[in-house]
Amino acid sequence: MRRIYGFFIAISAVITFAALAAVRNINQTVTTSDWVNHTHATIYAVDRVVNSAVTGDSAARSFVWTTDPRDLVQARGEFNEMSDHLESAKALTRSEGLVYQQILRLDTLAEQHAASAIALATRRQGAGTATPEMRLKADPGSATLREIRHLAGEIRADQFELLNQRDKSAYLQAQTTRWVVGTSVVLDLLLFAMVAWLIRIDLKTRQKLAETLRTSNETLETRVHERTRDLAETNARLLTENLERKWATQSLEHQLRYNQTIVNAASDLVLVVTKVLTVTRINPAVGTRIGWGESDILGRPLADVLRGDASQPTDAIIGQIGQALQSGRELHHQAARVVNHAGVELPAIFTLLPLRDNDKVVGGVLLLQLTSTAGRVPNGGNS
Amino acid sequence: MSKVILHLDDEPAIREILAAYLTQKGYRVVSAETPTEALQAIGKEHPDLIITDLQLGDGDGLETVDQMRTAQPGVPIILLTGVLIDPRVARQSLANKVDAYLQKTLPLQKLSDEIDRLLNRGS
Repeated sequence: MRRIYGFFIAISAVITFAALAAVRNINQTVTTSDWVNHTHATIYAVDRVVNSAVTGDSAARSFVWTTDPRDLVQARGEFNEMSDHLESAKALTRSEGLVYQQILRLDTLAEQHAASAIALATRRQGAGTATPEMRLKADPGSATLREIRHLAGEIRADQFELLNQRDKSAYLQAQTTRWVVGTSVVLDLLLFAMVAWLIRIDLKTRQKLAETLRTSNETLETRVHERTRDLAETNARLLTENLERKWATQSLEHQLRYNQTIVNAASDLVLVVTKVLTVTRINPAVGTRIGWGESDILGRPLADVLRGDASQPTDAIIGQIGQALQSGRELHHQAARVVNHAGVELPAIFTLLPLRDNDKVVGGVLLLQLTSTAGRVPNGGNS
Repeated sequence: MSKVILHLDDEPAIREILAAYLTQKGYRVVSAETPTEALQAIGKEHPDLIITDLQLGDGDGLETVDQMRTAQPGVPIILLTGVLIDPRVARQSLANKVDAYLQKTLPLQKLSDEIDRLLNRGS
């Protein structure tokens, strides 16, 4: 766009230059026309001065021969007219130094000649008809008239020379103007062509950009739609997965409660111990049958609850259980004695099942079955 | 017009999860907490399929199934329970009462497949 603006500025500058040149030429033409008219008027006035001088001189000479008063009147009239033309010539050339000087000189000569001719005629009125030839021969008017003619010729030639120069100058000026205008028109046409070319390129570029933008928008819109669809699908899948996870958790919790209920319903004593044989969990039967509450027994050593019998001491049984857990073995139907909350030892049979977490033994479950009813707590325990 | 499924379970969490899942699958779900509510919903909604729990707080699931059959004969019924029963035993003992027996430990997708199977069978 900047280049187009630049070209338009250049076109405007060329048009302005051509217009200024044309206006200047018109002004100069008007001035020249005035000057030409003025010059022709000067030439005309000079010619009229010469004509009047010649005609007046002829009339004065005729009067010398004929003494006809009409000749004298004509001579006076011609010389008066000559004076008028001289005044006109002086007025026309007053601002032109050299020509004006020539006109003044012509004026002087013409006035002298007129005065001389009138004087010759006046003298003829009082001198009779015997000596007109002698008087005419003695009159210096012929020489003055030649000088007037010669000077008028010079003035006329100078003026025509000026007119000639003026014509040449006007021709050159017109030619220059033609060249300026012609060149300006050609230059403007070239500039307009270049502007049109640039606009065409600019339009093509804009069309290309618009097409690219449209394609990009379509691509973007397609991608947005695809992405939105993907997100919606992903969202639906995640929602389904989340619901499945909640469902599985709910199911596990339900199964856990269910299993817990089953365990709690068992009448055998269940004790969960760690690998170092610390009691960490019991079932309700421990409380109901031997009186230990969770707060009493949890965290205590197994040896506080389980003792040896007559066949083997407590250390041996505890050691056997510890070794079984270390090696991941089960023990079944082992005889032992259970200590109730009151400190009474009761005969029992136990089973040990290792408790595994990812194939690693982390503790054990001890199932105790009392073999005698003596020493049992009748209704609940301390818990 | 989406098909209507009546779900009877006394656990709110189970009802919520199943309603959200089946709604996402395009069904309209009517949930009931008690057998009484379920029977009222049958009269009002005429469900295309019924899912019911076996163990209910204030009633027995199988007895409720009989009442549902009476209220809307021919409607497919799925027994959905968390009580672990040997599937072979369940099929033998429940075959004449319900159209399908499913455990709650199964993924929801399995339940959805079974629903689709029963509804398409009907249509």
